[in-house]
Amino acid sequence: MSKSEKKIVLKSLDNEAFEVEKAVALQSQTIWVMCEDKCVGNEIPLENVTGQILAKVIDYCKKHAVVDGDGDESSEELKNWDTEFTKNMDQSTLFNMILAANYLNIKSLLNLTCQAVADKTKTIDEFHTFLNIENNFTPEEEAQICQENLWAFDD
Amino acid sequence: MSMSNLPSELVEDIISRVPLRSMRTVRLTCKKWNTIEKSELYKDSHWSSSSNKGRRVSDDRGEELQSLLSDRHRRRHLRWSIYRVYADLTCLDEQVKIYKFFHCEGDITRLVVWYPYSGQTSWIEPRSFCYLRGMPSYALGYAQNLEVLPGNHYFCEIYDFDSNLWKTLDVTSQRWRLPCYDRGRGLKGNTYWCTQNFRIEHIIYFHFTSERFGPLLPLPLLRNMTLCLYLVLEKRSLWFCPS
Repeated sequence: MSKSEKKIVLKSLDNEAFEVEKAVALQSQTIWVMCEDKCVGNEIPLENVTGQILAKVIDYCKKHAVVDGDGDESSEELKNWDTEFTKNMDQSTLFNMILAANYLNIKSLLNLTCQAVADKTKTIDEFHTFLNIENNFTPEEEAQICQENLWAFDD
Repeated sequence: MSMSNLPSELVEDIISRVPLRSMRTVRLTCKKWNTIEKSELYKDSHWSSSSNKGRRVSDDRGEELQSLLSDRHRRRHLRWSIYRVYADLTCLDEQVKIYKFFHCEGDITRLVVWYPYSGQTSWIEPRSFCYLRGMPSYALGYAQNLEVLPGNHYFCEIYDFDSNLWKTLDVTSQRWRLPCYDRGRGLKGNTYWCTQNFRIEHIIYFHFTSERFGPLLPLPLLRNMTLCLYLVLEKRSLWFCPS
């Protein structure tokens, strides 16, 4: 295999091009299928992902590809890296990452990002502000649900 | 960009990862989430997704629970347990932190206790001679500690969750027998069963604090009837009804 065949170019929605190792890109089941079907050349257009998000996705895939290949990093280290990776993402980025992971079909990244959203939301107010959702309950309805869920009181 | 931009299956995925203890929060967030949380799909995914990823099963035997889930028959069994969790815990007061145990394929090999608040599980090994004396039945109650009581026709034992030890109770002089497979009904930490003494139906209860059975409470004579025991928790009263 020549050197150029090992590389693949991913093109984002806003026409940003990223040249990555094929092994890195193939962690995406979507890209894997595209390559397998030979329906694309060496350049793959990803119409649902912006350059900013795609860069982060590639960071993730690079990290995980290296570990899978060489095995020189422990799973503990990888876990820590994952935690750091999502730690400082704002909600908008996280949701975009979830959508990208879903579209590109990268299961481990989807798990990681969905878990990060779930972990970051602990109180009702956090749910409302972080997730950008409006509370549409009347006080009576709220009281009823509290009553139904007495066992689930948070500490 | 907000949560509402995500497809519903992804929203459900995220909600299913929120710890069970925050369910009230989830349901209070908005009407749509209240519905998602109540849906069967959610309950199913909550258990299967969390267990498959070994998230909530944080003890060292987590893998074994996962392998249980891969078996269809057992999956159904677990799913049934989950439905019961919602039904039972909604009624009981918050002291009850351990709720259920289940059997594996008829023979009891081990008991698993699930702590819904922390999401952790722990395993209890039944005593080996349980097998020699027929199928035991189990009940769960609480005193200061939580305890599980397996009984069968000839003997009763208590498992203490603090010491992790089984203790044998002397019931050899009793004339009544606890019904097989009947876990009884729990009320205020005690467990109640219907039983027969000299062919007359009685209610018997076990008091977990004193680790004793209470006196037999006689019931009216009902010929050719099967008794069902119901507990009405809001009124803190005990009912029975023939079926």
